[in-house]
Amino acid sequence: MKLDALTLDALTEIFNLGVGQAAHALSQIAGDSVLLTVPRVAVLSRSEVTDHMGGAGMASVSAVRQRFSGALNAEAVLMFPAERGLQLVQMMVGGELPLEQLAEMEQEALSEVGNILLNSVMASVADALRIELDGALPSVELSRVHDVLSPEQDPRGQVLLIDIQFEVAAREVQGLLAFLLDVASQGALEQMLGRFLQRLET
Amino acid sequence: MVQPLATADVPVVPGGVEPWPLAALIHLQAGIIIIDGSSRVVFVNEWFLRRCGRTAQQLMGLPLAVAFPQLEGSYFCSRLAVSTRTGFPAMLSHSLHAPPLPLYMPHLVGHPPALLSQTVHIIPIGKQAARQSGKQLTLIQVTDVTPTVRREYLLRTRVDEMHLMARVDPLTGVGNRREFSESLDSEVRAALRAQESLGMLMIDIDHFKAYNDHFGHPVGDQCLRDVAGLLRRVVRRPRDRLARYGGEEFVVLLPGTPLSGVVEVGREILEQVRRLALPHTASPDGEIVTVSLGAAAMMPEGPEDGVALLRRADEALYAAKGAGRNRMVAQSTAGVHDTVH
Repeated sequence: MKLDALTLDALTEIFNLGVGQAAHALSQIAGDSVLLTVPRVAVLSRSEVTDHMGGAGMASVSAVRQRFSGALNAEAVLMFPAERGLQLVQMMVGGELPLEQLAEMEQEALSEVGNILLNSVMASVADALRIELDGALPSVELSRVHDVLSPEQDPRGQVLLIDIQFEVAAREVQGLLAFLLDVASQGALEQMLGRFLQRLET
Repeated sequence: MVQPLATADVPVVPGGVEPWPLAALIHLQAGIIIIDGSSRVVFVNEWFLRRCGRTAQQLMGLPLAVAFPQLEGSYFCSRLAVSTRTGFPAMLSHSLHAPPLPLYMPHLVGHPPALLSQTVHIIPIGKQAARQSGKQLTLIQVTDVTPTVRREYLLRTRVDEMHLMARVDPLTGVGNRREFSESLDSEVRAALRAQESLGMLMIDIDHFKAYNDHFGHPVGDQCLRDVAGLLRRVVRRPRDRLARYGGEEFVVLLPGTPLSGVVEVGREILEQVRRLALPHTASPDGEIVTVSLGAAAMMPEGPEDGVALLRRADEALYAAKGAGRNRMVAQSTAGVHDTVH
């Protein structure tokens, strides 16, 4: 899958619409304004993402995973550096609990935050591309990024990688949103984006 | 009003919701309620009925927000609407929301009904299945997380207790040396930030070994408790810190206090211990328990670290001991000693 600059710009716009809606929903929960921005979108292979994240100090991650199916088959994975995921939850709750303490309920809260974000982004994609998608419930994984993305599972599989920045009450957390697409879906997405750009032009 | 003990009738199984495995859902040990495209209840299971104190007949066919008026305009309803529109499942976790549904713990005779801590999953039938079946159904699953919440609360409380215990001297109830070291570091930083002085007093009970040998350890312990109690009454501003530093040695931190103020507090301690007049017949210097004090203060214009401040207070205490005890020596930053009897 090769996406030119114009297409990546269009995708960035679609994602920004999605995270905008997620930010609104998250602000309601946090009782404080939550800002979400998507600075850039890139297409990489799974092993490139794994290497890149290992190099960026994100070898271990808190991840929220959701499967989407239908016109596109994709796994959407929201990842944070291992301890920052729970920190995000604490920013949402406004609590000050030490991070090393038990976190069963915080993990559940993290899956809700991920669910809101992933649903909003995918709804925005489905609306823009005029396609039908079904979704599954989120699951949380605390693991090495290699185990989360498992590059050897699908060596030809490509990843749509999105930098995402959370800002709650002047505190920031950086996350990464990865869409793992199978080969058929990569081709389908290229075509859908082509049609989307055509509609924009007419 | 909720009647947590109301026995639910076997729910009416409505037509039109197969191919879902309804028989299993009725007995599932989690709350299940299914609504149609206009948000009307088409299925509700026993677990749910028992905890909301209604019968299936009372709920079936009602729009959800009519059956449970407290849901009107709630965050739950807005999420439900989004989920129904997009077809994507959603969840409301316990930590981020108040319990959305009026579900109560059953079997609590004589107790006020306890609201369940809830995690709610909203699971729409999905676009493809909706198109194939011509039905827009949404399943709402409620999990009771009350035991988990209680367990985590309990463990957190224990951790907090242990955290506290690790910082308290068990004999006297004042801070221990670990607590003191931590507050010294943070108070030195705070004083530097605020450009304030930070005062310190080291206090030692005179001839305590002789006291212990003569009266025995239980009486010695009581003496330590009495002196600690007295110190607690004198050192009473909210930011002041009092700790047992060693055997019969106590230390006091006085944020925002110049040396003159430290000397005032020290003089008060000296006086009050004398007035306490605990008998000390084994003392080579007199008949009652007395203390020696070393006073020092870190000044904003001549900053030092906590170790240096501690060393100067300790030197002053030694000077007071060496000069005959039952007195205080104050050491200024210039190293000049000043004795108070």
